[in-house]
Amino acid sequence: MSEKTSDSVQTHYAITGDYDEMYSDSAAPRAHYEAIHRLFSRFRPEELLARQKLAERRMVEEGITFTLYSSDAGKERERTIPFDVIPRIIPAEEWSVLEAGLGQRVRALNRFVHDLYHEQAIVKDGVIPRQMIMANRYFRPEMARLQVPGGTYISVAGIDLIRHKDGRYYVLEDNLRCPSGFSYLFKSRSLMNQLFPELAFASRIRDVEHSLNGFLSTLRSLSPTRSREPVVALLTPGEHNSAYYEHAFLAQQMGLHLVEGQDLVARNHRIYIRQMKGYQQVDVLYRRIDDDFLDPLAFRPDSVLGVAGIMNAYRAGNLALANAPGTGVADDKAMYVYVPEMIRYYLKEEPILRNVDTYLLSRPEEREYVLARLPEMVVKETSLSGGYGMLIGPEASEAELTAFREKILRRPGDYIAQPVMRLSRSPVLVDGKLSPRHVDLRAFVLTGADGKPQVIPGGLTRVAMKEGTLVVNSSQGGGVKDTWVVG
Amino acid sequence: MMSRNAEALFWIGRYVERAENHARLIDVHYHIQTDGDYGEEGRKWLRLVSALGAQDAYAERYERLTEEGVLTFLTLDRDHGNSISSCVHQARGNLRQLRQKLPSELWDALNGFDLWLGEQGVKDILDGPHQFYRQVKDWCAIFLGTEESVMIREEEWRLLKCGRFLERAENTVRILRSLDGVLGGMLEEESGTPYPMMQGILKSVSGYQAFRRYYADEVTVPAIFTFLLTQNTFPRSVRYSFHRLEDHLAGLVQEAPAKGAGQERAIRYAGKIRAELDYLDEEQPLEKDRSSEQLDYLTDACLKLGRMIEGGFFRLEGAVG
Amino acid sequence: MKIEINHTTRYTYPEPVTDSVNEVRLTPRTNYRQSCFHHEVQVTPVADLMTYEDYFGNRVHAFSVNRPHQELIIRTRATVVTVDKPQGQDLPVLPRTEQLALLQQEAFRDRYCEFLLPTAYTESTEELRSFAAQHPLEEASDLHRWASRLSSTIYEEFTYDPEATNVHTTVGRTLRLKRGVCQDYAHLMIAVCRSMGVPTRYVSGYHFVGDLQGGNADFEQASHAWVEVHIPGTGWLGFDPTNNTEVNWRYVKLGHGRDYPDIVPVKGVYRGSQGSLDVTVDVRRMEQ
Repeated sequence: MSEKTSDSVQTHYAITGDYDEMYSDSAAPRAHYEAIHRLFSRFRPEELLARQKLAERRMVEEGITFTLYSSDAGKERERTIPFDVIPRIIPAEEWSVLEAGLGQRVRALNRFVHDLYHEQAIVKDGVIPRQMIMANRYFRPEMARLQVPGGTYISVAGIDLIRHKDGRYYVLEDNLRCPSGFSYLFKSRSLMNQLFPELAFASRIRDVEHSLNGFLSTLRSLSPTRSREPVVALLTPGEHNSAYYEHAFLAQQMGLHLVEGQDLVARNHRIYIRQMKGYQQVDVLYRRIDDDFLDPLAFRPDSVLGVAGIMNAYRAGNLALANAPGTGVADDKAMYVYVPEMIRYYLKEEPILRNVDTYLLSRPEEREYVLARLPEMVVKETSLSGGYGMLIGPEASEAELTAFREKILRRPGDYIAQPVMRLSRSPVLVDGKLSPRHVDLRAFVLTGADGKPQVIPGGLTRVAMKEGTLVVNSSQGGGVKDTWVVG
Repeated sequence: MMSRNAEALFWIGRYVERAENHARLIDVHYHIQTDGDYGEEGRKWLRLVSALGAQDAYAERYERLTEEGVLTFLTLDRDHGNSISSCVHQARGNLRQLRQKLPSELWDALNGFDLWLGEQGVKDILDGPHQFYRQVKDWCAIFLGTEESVMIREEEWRLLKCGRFLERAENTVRILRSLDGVLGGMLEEESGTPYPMMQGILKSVSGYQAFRRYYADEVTVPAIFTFLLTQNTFPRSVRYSFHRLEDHLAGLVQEAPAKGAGQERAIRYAGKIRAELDYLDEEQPLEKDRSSEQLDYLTDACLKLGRMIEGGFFRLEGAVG
Repeated sequence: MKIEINHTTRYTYPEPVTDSVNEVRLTPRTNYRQSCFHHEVQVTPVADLMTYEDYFGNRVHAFSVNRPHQELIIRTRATVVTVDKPQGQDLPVLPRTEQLALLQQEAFRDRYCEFLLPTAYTESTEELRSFAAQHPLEEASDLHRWASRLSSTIYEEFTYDPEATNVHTTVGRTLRLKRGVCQDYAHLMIAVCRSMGVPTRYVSGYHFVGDLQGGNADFEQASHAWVEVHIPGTGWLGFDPTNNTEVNWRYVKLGHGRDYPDIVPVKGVYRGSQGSLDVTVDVRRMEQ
């Protein structure tokens, strides 16, 4: 415990061995946190409490909400996400490594998706077993040989990073289908600017607002037509979707048409918006619905969220989709193992970012290794399986371990295992006092038709608001922090 | 604007107006008391439910025709799609989709109305029906006032107006229709037109003072019919509603109507009915035996125009873009 | 043999419908057993056809009819020449042990994995495995003959009954009913083969039977379905469990896939009320 009489804000946690973003092992603030630490130390607890309250009120007023699903249909609850006012700071030199690594990763993943829907060279060269692709439930035969604008399949990627107790960043997972969280990122920054205008002057914080322009340019660059201003629409499942606020936010900020499936119609292999004054052709569809529901003609026939004919408009080159269907193969938990190999294979580069050690339980020797250490492991289902089961070894009971062991032995290909990763901690304000919470970082990578990834500076820091837990998901009470790239 | 959003706005206009009209209609019925009503308790309430074409829906859900049952059904019952509460709730749902594009005051007005209705019970109505429905009308007035004072005069505003005036025309006709039978019977008795009742009807449409200005001494059934159908200075008359409806529809397609989508047809049809109402005024049309024919014709015209607007403005299926 | 096919699909709707978006897979394939040298697709009301080859190499035609219509007609006409001699005649045959060894080989399994995995229609259930146990691979003298016997067993144990099942029927249900149509027979055979590690795929097409019906021109014909089994070392061979035969000159193949949803011959989505469907298929042998 560290107590300095001059500080009215106290650090209420002992240094436990987990990496702390703000404090070094000697409980002194790290260099890049010094200015912030000093500033926050000057606030009185009740002042901070008042600002935190103000932040919460703004969230409610602006309707920054997500919807919690309930088994009781029609009883969804709108919630605001907990927002913490202590920023997470990433020094510029650290960020430049992350930025390069994230860009590299997404470039390779894009090449991989292109390859898997064309020559499958990576399979022929024996790097990845064909079965891992073909058996993946996100593989879309409909995408085979289809030419996508600029060869860019993954225009919008969300890469989850964690910092382990060794102080190093690791990629935990890639989200390459419809990653969400942008609105929290932009809103966190504007809330901070409103609440603590003094902080913005204290440090050189990399701007994020500009990234909205970058986002829009990325989407526009995909347009198959050069003859006019591209019409870009965001396809949402509608107001009952948990991320509807984000869809409305992004559409409004970038000036996109916010459409639902019922607003669209396919005619002669083109997609149109039903406007009161006639049909308007869509050039780029930033779709926030899953592949399965995108096109009832090509995919699930019972879907009412998408519109029939999207895939054929796409195939005919009359429409661009962000992201392309079928990118889910690449963000599978089993495919994750191969990403460093993909980087070497396609880019002839060494991976800049680390993967967490991951064991494919389909491999007998790795399975044996994991089964011998199950209580220390995290076991996750791959998208070869249908479920969402997960085993956290250290938290599991004897019975749970036995049950999972049987599941693994029955269908080893459905599982991967990883050692338990300790997420780093970052202080949050609780009742005007600092208290440690585990955090991760979702970084967003945007890639247009030129294939050059742009990374939004910082990203979204997600916080496990319950003390001691490692679960940062907003559906399980996770919160967010503003993330600063400084220097 | 997207067809779906346009339709949502149109229906916000309709729903809020419908809520108001229901409140007015219920109020009118409190003032109608025929001799037969004394003998049979349910008769009066049956008349009210029938006036809204909801007798079957009512019978499915309630056993007996009682004041409490009917008022609950028409006012608060969310399972009845046409209750005041349902109308307001649906209007609020529509507005929610468009919140980001419209002034926040509009949302506050409608959301407040919806929340207030949600807190009301049938006891609140029975304690003072007149006060209760007056509050409903006040909430509607707040919404209308907000709409008038904060919305820019563009498509969104016009769509609300189109919905409002089509609904108003339809409902004024409905009020007249619901009285037609009752009053018809009284006309035959010549002397039997009870003055307090006529006054009540006019007051329920806020037309008493206006009426008196034009027909100083003559509170007769034909005069009221003529007034509510054709008085172009009275904003709840059918003729006035059609004038506004035609204006706003035309305003929506100022630049160019979508080709082949039936927008021009809808405007022309609104114009035709409007012209007929203009002509009626000069004709002194309302001999007693023609009134019900007239009302049937107008009811049908409103329905037809509703379908034309829907087809022309909101459903461009198969239309050439 | 030269075969001509006229296939008409007619949808009629009680009320006009709009925004009808469709895909058809009705083009005969060209392969070592058949060559399609003429094929046309005609849609009424007139629509702009887009065509492409899908993942499985099937030819697809896509079109939309947006204007209100009460009738949609898709007419296809094709002329196909099929090979007269029995299948597999000029193809290499491996000894049984080598066939079985290949089935076990990782590279082989990897190459044909999409035709080895169960699908929603062809799930490997307890019932399926016990049905499959009647024909252990180990007892077969040769995989070709094994597949042929399996096809016969299905033919013998199941009753052809168009009323019993529909397009959504899965193998689990077919096994309980012991009845079905060609689609169900094909799915069942696929499920059995795959459960034993033999790559198998679903085939759609036409079966010429005109001359077998005593020249009765009114005999109702329709699209047909059968399977292709991959015999290691030999290749894909066709079996028709519905008719207890191997594929011969009477069979015209349209397409193949993992199961029915991959090759749905005609599918569409539209706005409007439910319509009725009328299909006429005319398959005839042409004078040489």
